[in-house]
Amino acid sequence: MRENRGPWYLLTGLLLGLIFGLVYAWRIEPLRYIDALPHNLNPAAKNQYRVMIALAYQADANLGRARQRLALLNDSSPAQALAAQAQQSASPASSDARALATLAEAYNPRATTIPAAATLAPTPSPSALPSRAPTGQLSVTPTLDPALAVRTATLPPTATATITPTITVTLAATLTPRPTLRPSPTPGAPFAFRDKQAVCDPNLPALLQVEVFNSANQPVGGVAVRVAWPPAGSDLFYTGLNPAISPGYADFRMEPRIVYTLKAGENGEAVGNLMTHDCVQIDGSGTYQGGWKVNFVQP
Amino acid sequence: MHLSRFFWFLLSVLLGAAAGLGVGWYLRPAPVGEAALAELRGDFRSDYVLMVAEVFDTEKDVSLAVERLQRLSDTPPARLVQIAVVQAGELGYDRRDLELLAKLAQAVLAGGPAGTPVPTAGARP
Repeated sequence: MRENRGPWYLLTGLLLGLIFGLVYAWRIEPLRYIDALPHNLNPAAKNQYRVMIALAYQADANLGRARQRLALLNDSSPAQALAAQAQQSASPASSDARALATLAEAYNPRATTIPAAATLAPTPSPSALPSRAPTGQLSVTPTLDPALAVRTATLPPTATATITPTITVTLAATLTPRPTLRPSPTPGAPFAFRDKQAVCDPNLPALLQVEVFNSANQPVGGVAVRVAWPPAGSDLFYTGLNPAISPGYADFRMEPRIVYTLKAGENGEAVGNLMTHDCVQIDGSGTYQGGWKVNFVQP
Repeated sequence: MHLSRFFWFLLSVLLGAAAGLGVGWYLRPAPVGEAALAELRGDFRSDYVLMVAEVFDTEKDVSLAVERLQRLSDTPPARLVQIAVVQAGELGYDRRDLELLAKLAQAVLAGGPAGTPVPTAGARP
């Protein structure tokens, strides 16, 4: 007797093959990035890339280059991304966190506002394009499409610079002065205590707030602040981790009944007898622990 | 007769697999995850190596530089720097950057297996 099974076995084969093909393409060998751009990186890799940008900036102080590199990450606010990463760092006193904070503080778009006197001719001459502009000179900011541009360290001195055979970068018509006016501490001058105020703010209980200024009274980021308490406790943190408040700002949460001593920078003047104090709620319903705001300045 | 049925069955499986691959890779690919540092395009990898070189020039810490290079890729660090030097030459990095890369290459090579030559800038791989 002959059994007539029809074409069902063909359909079964097709289905089996289809399932295998889909599993292989979606699970076993899914599409992967090759030649990814920095903004395609996963968050951990972006953080690593950002740390390297900050460390490189700390090494060569080339803000223009750091800005170009940060632009490749397509962060909506690079300065905030840097500050947030510095704050979330496992060890806020680490060199990575400090570098991130320093770059966050330096990354200030207002510093690159071009004064009328600094606006130069649309076509920059080769002499206006230093390979590594030293402090006080002008550097050229190319208009890069971060998604496409291949960033070379220094653009050739031509108005249109072909960097790879396929990508052309056109220089912008404006020259950006190097932001050398960024407040920075005078090297070697120790920070002196300026003043302190008791703070009663229920939103900032027991907070020791520190702000550091340079001799021009500009808030300064990246300054090491050491807080110590008996018998041998101490902590180190840096200003500039919260640029939304102030580039020279840092804070520390105090514990009740502990007396703290505070110092800004190496060999700075120490401020002692800092401890929480009782503050009364506005409605008189109770008390909470108040903090201090301490200011340091370079003479 | 059985052989003939098996042939057609096998063919249908292959056709189904081809269709599945076509759908899974081209028509409805799985969402592409975010990339790792190792998947960066070559010129950005070179720029990363340059950043390591810039930091190394200040810190002079080979082990830290090697650690940072290892985060970039499984490729041996010395090889990574060599590739970066070649690519930097091709992309027209300026002399100062090439020197930084060369310094890093020498330092990494000195700490790694000897005998691997450092390519000159502009040399083809």
